[in-house]
Amino acid sequence: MSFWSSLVQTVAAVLRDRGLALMFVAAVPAYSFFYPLPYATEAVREVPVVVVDRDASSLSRDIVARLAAVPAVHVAGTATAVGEATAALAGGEIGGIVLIPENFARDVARGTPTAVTAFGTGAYPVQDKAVLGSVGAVMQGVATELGGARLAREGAPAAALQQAARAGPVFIDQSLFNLAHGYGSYVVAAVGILIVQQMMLIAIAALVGTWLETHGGTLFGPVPPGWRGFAGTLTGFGVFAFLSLLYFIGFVFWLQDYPRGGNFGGALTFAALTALTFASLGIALGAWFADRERAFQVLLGTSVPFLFVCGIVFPREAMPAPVNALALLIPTTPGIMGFVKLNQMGATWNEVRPEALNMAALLLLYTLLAAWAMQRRRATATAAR
Amino acid sequence: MATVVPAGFRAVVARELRHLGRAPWDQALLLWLPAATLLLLLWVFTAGVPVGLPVAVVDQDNSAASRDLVRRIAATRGVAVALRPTSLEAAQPAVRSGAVYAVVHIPADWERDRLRGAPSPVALYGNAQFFLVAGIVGGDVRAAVSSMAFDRAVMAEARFGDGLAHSARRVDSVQADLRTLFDPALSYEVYLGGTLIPAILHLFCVVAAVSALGREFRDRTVGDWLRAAAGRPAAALLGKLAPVAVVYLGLALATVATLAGWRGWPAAGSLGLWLVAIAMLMLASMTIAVLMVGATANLRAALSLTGLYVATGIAFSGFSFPRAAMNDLSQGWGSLLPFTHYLPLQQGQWLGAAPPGTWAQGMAGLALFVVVPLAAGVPLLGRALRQPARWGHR
Repeated sequence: MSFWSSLVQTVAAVLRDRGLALMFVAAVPAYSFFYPLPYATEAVREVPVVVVDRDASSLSRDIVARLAAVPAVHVAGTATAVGEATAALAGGEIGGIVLIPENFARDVARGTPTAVTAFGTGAYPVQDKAVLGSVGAVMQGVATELGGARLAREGAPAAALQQAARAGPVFIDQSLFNLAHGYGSYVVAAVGILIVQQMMLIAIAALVGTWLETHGGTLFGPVPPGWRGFAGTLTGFGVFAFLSLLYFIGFVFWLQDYPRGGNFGGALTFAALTALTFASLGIALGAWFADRERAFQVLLGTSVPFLFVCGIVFPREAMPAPVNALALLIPTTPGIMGFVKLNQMGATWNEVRPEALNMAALLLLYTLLAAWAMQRRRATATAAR
Repeated sequence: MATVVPAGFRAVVARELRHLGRAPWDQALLLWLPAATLLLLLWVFTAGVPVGLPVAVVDQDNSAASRDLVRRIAATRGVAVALRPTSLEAAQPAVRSGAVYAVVHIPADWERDRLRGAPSPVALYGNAQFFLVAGIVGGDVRAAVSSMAFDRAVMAEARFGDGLAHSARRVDSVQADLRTLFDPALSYEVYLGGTLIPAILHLFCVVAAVSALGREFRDRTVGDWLRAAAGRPAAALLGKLAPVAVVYLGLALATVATLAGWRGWPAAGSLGLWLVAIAMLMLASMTIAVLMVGATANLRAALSLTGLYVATGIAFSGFSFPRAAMNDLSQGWGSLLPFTHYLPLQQGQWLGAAPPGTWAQGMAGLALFVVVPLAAGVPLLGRALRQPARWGHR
């Protein structure tokens, strides 16, 4: 079978299969609208907190008013004691409790050390960080102003006070990439690649499995495909994976206004390499499963582990070495890292060399595996006939 | 005993077990693959808290003070100074290639400008594309810079007399006391392992139940299945799901025992209430499978629905990005997913010590995911069982 006729037949087979054509063509767009939804707001906001103001002074009310103005938190109620709100915190109904102690304003005026206490919840660390960070920032502002007032009282010269008031921050935390610290910009940039991989692996393996069951398709029909026919099939599947990847890095990132296009030429090249790797692994899995539905059953549960071992969510430095080694066998491991570097971080081709080499090695490995599995299945089928 | 358990039910269970004995793939899907995945997820997070994340420091001041700051940064738990480039330009490729997560820049004449009274800031150029890492690195570098600023403020304050201890009290007299209750160490084994493992267990349970039911439709063996149940659909359904229930209640028990026992994060609330909640989640998983197979009578379509409904569910549950921060549509969709209702029940009993009243309220919500799919799914499945023309579609 020639390369081109096999490629065309593969594409035709995909589009003819009513159940799987949707998986190949419509599933990635469907997920691309559905998955970013929870992160549409990008920033953590409106985490509910309960305020326990035991001081009830103008200073304490000022602190509560400042806290209420912070977008990350929402003052959802007040209580007269911390104990009244701990059950709601444990039950996950609120994200934090802020306590302003009795005689807070008096102690501040006297110079007696005192503190506003914030309780966050480790059961929801993102909320915890939002609550503690907000209270910390508000209190830093209050402390700076009170410190200036104290200096004036102690008789510091006016010039020194002015200088202190005008002084810039001692520390700046500026992100180089994902400038807005968007949560969706971080999650979806990674998960988008995973979605394409999982959909393509399932769809390709399901179709190849169907071919095996029915002794049909380009790979398992009566005519041996030869290496040209095999390459055409691989490329035919690769076209769908390639278009899905382009749809994500070109259209979805633009539509959602995520960081994108850092090194588009590099991303295109990497997408071609990645698409063929997805296709080769899909064929290998399909030839192994030899069943139309098996890929759904096996791969649905792998998405979460695949995401968390790739190193973008949880750092590689903190994972056991064998986990990192195993992760190198999954295309999303170099895939997610490579695409984030190219699209979001604008890396040069040289700077993604480890990912490109890893992906190329996987392409070679899975192409050989797929060809071997195909040969074996054909041999068994012939022997049985 | 034999008279208490109907013969049809026993026959269906026996038939299912015979099938599992003959079909290694189905056996693996039911038990071995989920067990292996759960262990892998557990293994990923065993380190608990990331330490020694590599950063680059560009020290263009080269004063005793800047060297002190670099030492303080290197001394934090989360960060390791891996590179010392001489300029920001030289540091950029190291960030883009992933060799370091961030660059700390101490500008030239940093110490001199401070002594002049016109301080310039230390800048951390982080990478929020690695959100979790950026949080750890940002917090630790900020802490190092703050500790140094505090020491200097105390030294300056000491001009006014009373010694260092008193000046420290004066400088720091108004504080924010920030505390994390429930998992105060913010261990990622608890945070990610503790939430992802039950979520994956829930997904595998739906897949297993969908596969067990849907297989009969795919293979057109519904007639044989019903015959084993002596024509009684209830016995057919219960016998079918019994092995799934045994395996997944066992895996749920093992999950709780692993997290609360072996890994050493005991339940602050009630272990019993947590177990009831996770058992209810498994039950809901099976009834959702009944609905999906009943609605489609097609194994592939039911599995596709499982992917859309269950596999994406964790993102809407608020386990990381809070539900309060989501838009209304996402909050609404999230409330239609059982895991969203399960999560606060688990976190309340495991990490917090939520009162039984809160638990009961949450359980009522979770129980709806057993009742509703059952009420809708059983008639649908019953209809599909009577329509041989719909069997065998793939």
